Amino acid sequence: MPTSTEEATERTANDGLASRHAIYSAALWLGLSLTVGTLASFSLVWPDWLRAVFPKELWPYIHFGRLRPVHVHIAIFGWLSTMYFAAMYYIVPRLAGVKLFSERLGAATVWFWNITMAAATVTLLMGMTQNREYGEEIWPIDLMVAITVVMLGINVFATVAKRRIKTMYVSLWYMMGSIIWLALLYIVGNKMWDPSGAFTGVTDPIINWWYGHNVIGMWFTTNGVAIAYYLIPLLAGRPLYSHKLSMIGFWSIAAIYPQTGAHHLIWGPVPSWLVSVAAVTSMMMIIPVWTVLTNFYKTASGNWTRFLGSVPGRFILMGSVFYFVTCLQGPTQSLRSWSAVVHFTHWVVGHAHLAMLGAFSFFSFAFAYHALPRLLGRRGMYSEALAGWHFWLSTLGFVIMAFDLWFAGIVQGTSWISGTPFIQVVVAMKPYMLTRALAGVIILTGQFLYIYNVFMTARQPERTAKPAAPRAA
Amino acid sequence: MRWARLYMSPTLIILGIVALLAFAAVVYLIVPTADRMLWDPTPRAKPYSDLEARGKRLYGREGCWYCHTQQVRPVKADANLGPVSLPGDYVYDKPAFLGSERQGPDLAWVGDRLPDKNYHIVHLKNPRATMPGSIMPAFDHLPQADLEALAAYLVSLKSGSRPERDLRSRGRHAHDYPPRRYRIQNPVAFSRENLTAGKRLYDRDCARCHGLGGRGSGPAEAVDFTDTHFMGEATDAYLFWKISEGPRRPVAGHDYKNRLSARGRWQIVHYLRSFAEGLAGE
Repeated sequence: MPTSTEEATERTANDGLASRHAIYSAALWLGLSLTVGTLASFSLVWPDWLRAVFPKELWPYIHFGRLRPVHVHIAIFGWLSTMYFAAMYYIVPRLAGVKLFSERLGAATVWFWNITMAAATVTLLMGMTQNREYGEEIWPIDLMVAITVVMLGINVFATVAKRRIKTMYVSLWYMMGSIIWLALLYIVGNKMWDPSGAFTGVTDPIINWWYGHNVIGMWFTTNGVAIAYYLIPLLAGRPLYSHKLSMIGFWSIAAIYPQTGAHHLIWGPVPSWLVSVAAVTSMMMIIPVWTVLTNFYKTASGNWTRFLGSVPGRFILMGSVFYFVTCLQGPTQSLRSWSAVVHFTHWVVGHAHLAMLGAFSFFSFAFAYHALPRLLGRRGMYSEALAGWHFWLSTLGFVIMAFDLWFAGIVQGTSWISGTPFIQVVVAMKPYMLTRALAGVIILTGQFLYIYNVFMTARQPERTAKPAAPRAA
Repeated sequence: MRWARLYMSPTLIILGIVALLAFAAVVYLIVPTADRMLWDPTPRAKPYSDLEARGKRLYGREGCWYCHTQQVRPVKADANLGPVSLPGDYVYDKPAFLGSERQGPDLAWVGDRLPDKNYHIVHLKNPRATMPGSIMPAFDHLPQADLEALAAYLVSLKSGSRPERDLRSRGRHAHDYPPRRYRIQNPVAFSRENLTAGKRLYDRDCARCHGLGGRGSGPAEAVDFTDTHFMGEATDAYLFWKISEGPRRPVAGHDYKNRLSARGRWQIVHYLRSFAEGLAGE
């Protein structure tokens, strides 16, 4: 279980360097990604508005087809993945009872990754793409991603290898596993031995979605769960409810998740047995998700006052609720009957945001609010009030956006079935798209408060030599 | 907990998860490639000309595929989009633009609906001139040569079959009688064994378009076997004939006289009856 070693080891200036840089970088990528997303969302209502605002020279780079991949890539790789780097650099040494193998290597990894993300942003805006969802980056950038993952892996595995706490807490398994999963999935899924990066025929969508969905399930999900597993006992001030449940959760996700990708191709031109495999395993995802959430709930329950008294606790609870809803939607969407209604509609967009923004970004915010003051040796964040506003704006904005997209999706899906002319459905979507864009503005406002809070915390004078160290849970 | 200690070794965790991922890789990467269906081109699939290939690259570069799918599914929502897409339609694509969202209409067979290149050029330059209410970005900043390549690519997306506005309103089996050689009784006995065999064949070969429940949750061409009016009119011989030769509007791969034994086809006929009679699944 999590134990704080901050008292045990001597602090030096270098301590937490990698994690701090990752948190700062991630905050900036968050701002960029959500700004791009919000700008793009208004073009679904007024398709020409960006042309009215920006000069003619920029028109080739600012239409929806160019902005969408930038939004998605920077959100999941620039923001979430960088936060996961920060979480690994912070959590792995604490669970291992030693210092991070190399803070300098860690910081170098973060900055190499920042260069990679900047290159991805520029190339995607320029239209340099491999045209495969979640795998758009061109080959040289694929190589940079692979190098980053190797650098990250060296640091994490070397830290685990010299650990003093022999019992490995579940967060460590998830973090080690995620690095291996990401490396293997990225290399195979992006066909990195071929600079074109694509397979021929429908083999390509099959492998694309095997990679695309697994990277969600075996990098974004597993790291998010690792953060929650680390924070919940600390925030609740009590040990984890069940280590056996955490094992069931870990091994069932490792066994089940890699088989689910083809549910993106239901009714599509692919072998139907493969879709059946995906549907069955998607339904089985109830096992890992519910065991993990039961474990979370039983650990926190009975101590809600303390748990919800802190901003990280609120983010973890709300994130867990969103995670639960994601994993009710996911299995049902993989059924052929429901897929026939909602596939290709805004419903799925709502579902994707629910996982990436609702669940895993919320876990990451909880981590930032917990870890940043400790990394800096501060008593707390610059402003608790701003953190509270960040929580409520993110939650409110996201709930509006999610329900709006789900309703929009059902209207779209049923209209297509009833044979309504396509353009009428497009026009009918505009009020929904406007609501979604305005909800995006609410979310974006909250994120600017977060970014401001992070950087003001960093600039704050060090008040006390020692942070309020978390009690060993 | 001795058994639990096994899980505490990093080596075992790594070996375990790599093995599980490798198993999935076999299922997704290796097994499907053994299926000829993925590699044999359909008659309507054809390689791209240089101009069309250039248009396809532009289609990718501009991100058209984020909002337009290129796959027609055997579901009611896609009934007016043309023939159902088959794996063999994509053998010349690398990558195939199947897409994942329909902010705009499906373009799998847009060349059937809109065969005029000039229409596409005008539409690309100013989408709202040809389609009021459209939310497509305007592409008038592209050079004329690029627009022509894109248009050439779009009109190349065709199946060759004539589009029909609403296939569901078409009289499906009027003037549609089996030829003399098919006017025969079902020689296979109605038994549990034959029903089970019929189900096995149906699930393997027919369910993709007609649905596992026989509801024809597919395109208008795929008949609904739970439709009691239709099943009441259709004789066994009619069903056997259609299974053997395919529907009036040709569907690739529906020539089951070449693929299944007569016995197997008659077993399917028995199974089809069970849908309308509510026996399926018992």
